[in-house]
Amino acid sequence: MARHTTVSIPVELGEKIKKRIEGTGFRSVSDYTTYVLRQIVSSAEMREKSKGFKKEDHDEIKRRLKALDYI
Amino acid sequence: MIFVTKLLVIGVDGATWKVIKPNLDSLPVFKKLCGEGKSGTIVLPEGEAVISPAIWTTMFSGVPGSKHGHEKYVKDGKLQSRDDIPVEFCWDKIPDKIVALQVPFVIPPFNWNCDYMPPGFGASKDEAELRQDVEGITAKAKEILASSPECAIVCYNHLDRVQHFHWGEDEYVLEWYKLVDSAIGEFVDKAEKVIVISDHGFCGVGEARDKTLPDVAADGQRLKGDHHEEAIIITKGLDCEIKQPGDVYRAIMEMFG
Ligand SMILES: [Zn+2]
Repeated sequence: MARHTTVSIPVELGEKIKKRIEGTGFRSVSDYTTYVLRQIVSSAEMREKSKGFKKEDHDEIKRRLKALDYI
Repeated sequence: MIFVTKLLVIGVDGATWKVIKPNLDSLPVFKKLCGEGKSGTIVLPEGEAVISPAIWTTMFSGVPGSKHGHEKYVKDGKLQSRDDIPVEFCWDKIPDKIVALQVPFVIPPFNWNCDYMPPGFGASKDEAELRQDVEGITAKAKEILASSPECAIVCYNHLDRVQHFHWGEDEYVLEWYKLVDSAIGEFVDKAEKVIVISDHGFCGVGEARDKTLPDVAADGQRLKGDHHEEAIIITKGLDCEIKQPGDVYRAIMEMFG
């Protein structure tokens, strides 16, 4: 079971989310908020990771793939 | 025995019954799995490209190749990354429940909830590097399973590399199957349900439904094996049947989604 922490959001936003998730698979405002935040954080992480991947690495991989003829 | 890991998917790129079936006595783990579970052949649908990036993408997104369009590791001179592929994978939908190690729909192969960088970026045909990678993936897989994820995905792509250049050298190829067989044996019993699957099989150049490769590699080495449209499937404890690669995605979503 994942551990949780509390985050505050404006009441108005909370109400809007409540309406938004009616009839969807999200069980609560927390569920929905976690989902949205996770998407944002993981795509940011992904971008950072691919930045950490050097241009020389890309060239080396392409060279190796060419030798395997998968290009 | 109570398992925390409900499902373990082991992907073996390029594994074919043509090598496994006649050599089951030399492949004890495959033999045991075939005995305990159900085994069969997946015939990839006509019109779908019999190439690794496309099929692995389909396997874990449920989206057919004709729709996702991801066929090459490098497109228009650009090395493709996860962001270039317009699908939602099972791990995007249930991010906390899955750990995925070295899924070869991109190069370097893709990891989810774990870190691993293969020697040669996973694009090697060097024998020492390939061996080192089998060991590295196996050690990492054991570590992953010790952390008890609900669903674990572990892929090996070495047989593909070896068979392209050594298809027909039966003893040499079998040695690599033995290596993968014993690697899998180190962790296959750590999950309740198991799927072992290949993305495609193998055959001699000219024997495949769709020829996927040239006769000679860019560096002049002759290619001896090509992708065959028949892939392997073994399931243990699974309620549903895997008839096509996309059924793996559906099985995962049914269990955890
Ligand atoms: Zn493949």
